[in-house]
Amino acid sequence: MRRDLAVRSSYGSSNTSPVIEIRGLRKTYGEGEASVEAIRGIDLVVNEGEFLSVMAPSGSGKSTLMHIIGCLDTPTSGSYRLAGRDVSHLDEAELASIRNQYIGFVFQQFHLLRHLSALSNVELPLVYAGLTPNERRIRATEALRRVGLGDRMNHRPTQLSGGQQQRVAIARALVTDPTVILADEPTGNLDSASSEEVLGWFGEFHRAGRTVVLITHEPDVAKVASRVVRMRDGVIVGDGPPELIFVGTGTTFAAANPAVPVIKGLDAAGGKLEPK
Amino acid sequence: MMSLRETLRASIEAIATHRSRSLLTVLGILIGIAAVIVTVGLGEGSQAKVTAAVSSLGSNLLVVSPGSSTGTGGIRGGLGSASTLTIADATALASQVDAPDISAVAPVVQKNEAMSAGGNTWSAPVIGTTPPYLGIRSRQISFGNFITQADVTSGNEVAVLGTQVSAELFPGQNPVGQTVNINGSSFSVIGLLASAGSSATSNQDDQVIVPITTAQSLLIGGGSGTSVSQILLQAKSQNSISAAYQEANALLLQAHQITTPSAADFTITPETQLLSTATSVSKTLTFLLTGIAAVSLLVGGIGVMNIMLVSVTERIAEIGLRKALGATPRAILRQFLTEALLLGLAGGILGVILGIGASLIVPKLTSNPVALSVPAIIGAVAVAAGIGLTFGVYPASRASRLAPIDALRGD
Ligand SMILES: Nc1ncnc2c1ncn2[C@@H]1O[C@H](COP(=O)(O)OP(=O)(O)OP(=O)(O)O)[C@@H](O)[C@H]1O
Ligand SMILES: [Mg+2]
Repeated sequence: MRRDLAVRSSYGSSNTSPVIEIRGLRKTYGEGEASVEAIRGIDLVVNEGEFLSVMAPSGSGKSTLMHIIGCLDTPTSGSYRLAGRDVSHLDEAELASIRNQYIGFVFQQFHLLRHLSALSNVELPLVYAGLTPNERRIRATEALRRVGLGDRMNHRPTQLSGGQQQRVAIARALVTDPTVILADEPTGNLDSASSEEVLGWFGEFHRAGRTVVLITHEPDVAKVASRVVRMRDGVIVGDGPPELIFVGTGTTFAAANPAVPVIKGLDAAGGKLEPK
Repeated sequence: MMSLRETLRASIEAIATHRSRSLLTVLGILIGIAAVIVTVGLGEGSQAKVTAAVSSLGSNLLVVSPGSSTGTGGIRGGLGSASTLTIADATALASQVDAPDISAVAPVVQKNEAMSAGGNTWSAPVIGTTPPYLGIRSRQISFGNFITQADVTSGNEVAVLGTQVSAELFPGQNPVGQTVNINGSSFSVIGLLASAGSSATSNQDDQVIVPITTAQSLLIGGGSGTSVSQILLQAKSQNSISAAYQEANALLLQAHQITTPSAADFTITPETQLLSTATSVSKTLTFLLTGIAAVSLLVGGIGVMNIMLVSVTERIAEIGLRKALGATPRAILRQFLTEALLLGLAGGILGVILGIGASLIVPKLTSNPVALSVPAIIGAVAVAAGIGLTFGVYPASRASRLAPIDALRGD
């Protein structure tokens, strides 16, 4: 009885209620001879508060999976429950409102609107949520302060460094208080210092109890998560804590093995950046 | 749900971000609207000018002239010369029994004469007529009196001056009570006409009016003692003009003992015919110019659609992002429609400003009056907004149907 409730509730307080529940997921692009099966049967359950990274080489279906998890696209077959709700067959408008409520996106190319200030960019999801200008201002200001950009709120994206732009994007992902923070190659366009900083923020959110899904092809990035899912050619080929995944695969990830120092470094960075 | 205010704000931001492109987008509409304002203004202006000119000749007026315009031989008998119209004709037409729809009749003779007063000389048309002339021609007396029936009966040597004649002969003075010498005879000035301005055909202030009998005996003379150059008729009302025409025609045919109407030695021209000929010309012109303006508006609308399609393509990433962040297809549709509407509106308002500017300049260059009509301006702005909206539908629906993943990939 209690378990049932916990599973069904979107915001179940139990740390073990599944936020993402994917069963037999398939995604085929195109039709007939030209069709490409990007995802060929994936089962994946992500519980609330988990920090998960999906790691795979290029072309193996990471972005496709991310689009489906983020409700930007629907599966060809299989089921997907987000926060207990079946979202595999919703229409465009319903998906838009689900995205707005449950998902905070962080993209590789930042995707900030150039003609808007940092503050207005962060306010954007709140506009579609229907908040009043005053509420939006308060929450967006708070989110920007949290990522250390309290003094850059009226800057345009072009007046910010890549790392700062990605922090604006992170603030935007955070501002709606989403159920899942979903990041696709968030460090792909950043130098190593900015990357560490950005990953530090994800670690921070994880410690604050949020669910984070990080998609990457880089082992160094993937291992900051507490759980790593490896994909190849549209299927999952490994799933476990980073120590196990990287050590377990032996030769492939032996070179990337100094996982512990990286995480420590990030912890230090996270501590340094921790807002007052 | 995104509020109207937010939609407006986002649209204004987008337009303001691409200021020069937005201006180019609306250029077609801008020019089209300016052209509409000017052409409609020109049309209305010249129509007003024609109407004013014709009605300054008198209201519900019919003019009987000697000679026929329907006969195969063209106009018979020189117009206004050895006339076939006489005072007797005028008297017959004034009969309330035979011509109940004619309310006033004024026979007219006219001749240019030299005149002098004191040391001043002048030359002006002298019109011999009867008292109803004043009302038929819609004239006013500003000083003294008009000629009376008694003046006509006795052939008194009295004259009523137009303002220009008065200014030439009696500069700075009241002419009433003074004497003017016309063609060797002395006339006492008994009245001054109020200014009526110049019509399309003549200067109404440069004339002298005397009793018709006096004019015939002292000025025109000769054998044509009782002939007149025109008879002016006033119909009882606008609606009785054609009845008055029939009555006058029948009476004159009978008086001149003509049995075939096509052989008539006179012509009756109703004022409305003058008016409608003149206005139909200006209506055709207005119609033509409005057509050209409409085509340019259509082209302007296609321009809006074209550039908005470019804008949608260019902003694919923005659309995708907005969708990813929770914008519904409807919200995107509304945003782009609002942009199109605002672009149209801006084009309309700028076009009106340009049009008003041009309307102030055109009369100086071409001497054509341009009438600015408020309904036309409001209509033009509404049409511009409507064009923006109409031609924005296709780009906006394209934007709203973009799949968010395709849109996000597009950079
Ligand atoms: N819209 C699409 N239409 C057709 N095929 C597609 C489409 N999107 C992706 N694919 C194909 O699906 C497969 C998986 O693509 P996906 O983008 O998910 O890979 P990825 O793991 O994100 O790769 P990368 O690391 O390069 O971003 C690829 O073979 C790709 O060519
Ligand atoms: Mg990808």
